[in-house]
Amino acid sequence: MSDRHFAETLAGAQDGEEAAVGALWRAYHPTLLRFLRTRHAARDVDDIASEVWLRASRSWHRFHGDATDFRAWFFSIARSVSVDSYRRAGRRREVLIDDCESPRHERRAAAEVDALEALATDRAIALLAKLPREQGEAIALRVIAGLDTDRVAAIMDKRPGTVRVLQHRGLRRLALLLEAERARSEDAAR
Amino acid sequence: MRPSSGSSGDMDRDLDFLRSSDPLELDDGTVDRLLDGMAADDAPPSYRHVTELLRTLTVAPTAEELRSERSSVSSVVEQARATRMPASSKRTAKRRFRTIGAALLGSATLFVGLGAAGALPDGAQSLASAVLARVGINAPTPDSHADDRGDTGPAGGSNSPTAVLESSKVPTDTTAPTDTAPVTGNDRGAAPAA
Repeated sequence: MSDRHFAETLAGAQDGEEAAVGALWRAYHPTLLRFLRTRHAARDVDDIASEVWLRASRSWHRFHGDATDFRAWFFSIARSVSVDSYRRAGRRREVLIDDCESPRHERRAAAEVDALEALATDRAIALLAKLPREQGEAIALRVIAGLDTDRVAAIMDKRPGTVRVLQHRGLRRLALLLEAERARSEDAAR
Repeated sequence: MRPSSGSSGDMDRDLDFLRSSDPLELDDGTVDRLLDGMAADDAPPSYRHVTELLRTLTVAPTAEELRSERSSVSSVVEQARATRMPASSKRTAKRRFRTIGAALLGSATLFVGLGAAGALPDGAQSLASAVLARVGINAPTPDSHADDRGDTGPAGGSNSPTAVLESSKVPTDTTAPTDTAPVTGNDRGAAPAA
């Protein structure tokens, strides 16, 4: 979304225009879901995402900035709702690969190519969910939300250098998890 | 691993060797490029699968992810409109408050000005006189009005709008004695006639 188009869309959304809200929703909802799925069980994600949208729509009439600022603002709300949800539930992330995959299997016949790609995305999300929370968060905000490290650092309330270390460790651990997965599938094939 | 001889230079070389022998070691620039979507062919060999994995996180939205659009957008629109209403009501209330405040201030200023000039009707003038006396301002009482009227006669224009306005322009001397009569329209009106 270009900055000009974004400004018009946001103004419309602030006035409660359905088309503008729809455009914002389509632009941000899929990435919001992916981000939340790296942190929460699949069954909780829709409720948390709804809460994020409600909080955002309650305060976006006060928002000023461009599309990138909005994305950072939106994901800071997402993170805050996610943290609140942890506190309410009093438990940590409990994402399982099967948790993400089961609804997909039912729909695969309808759109096989789409579903295969979705399975790949599900697998990536599930692996990201296996990282220590801050490492996963630092990578998810950078890759899924598309934010630069400085903005990620602001959202996580950390220094950029600390976030870089978290990202480095997260990537390293992902490489090890993928290697372990590959070794397991080779063993199974023998 | 090579054995270390113990000197500081050897130790640095050992550390360099360990770093370079770690296939998962990355510099900051490579970390950034990997996260920005570096092509698998350009990535360090140990991270080729990681780049493919990260790419799948940014593919186009799936039908499943857009499934709840209609219901979600409706509730967001409802919320956005509900939030917008109080904001506009708040602005209207603020505007009303300011208008009422300005009207009250204007009325009070006019009341004090006319009261100090002795240009109010008898009932209001006695009230103004009493109120202003409490704050140390000597305003004429209705009796002094009567005296004025007696002096100048009923044809005088002390109650004419012009006279009232001009009287209210007279600076109020809060230390002036009560019997100092304010300049009235009659006084002014007498001069041209003379």
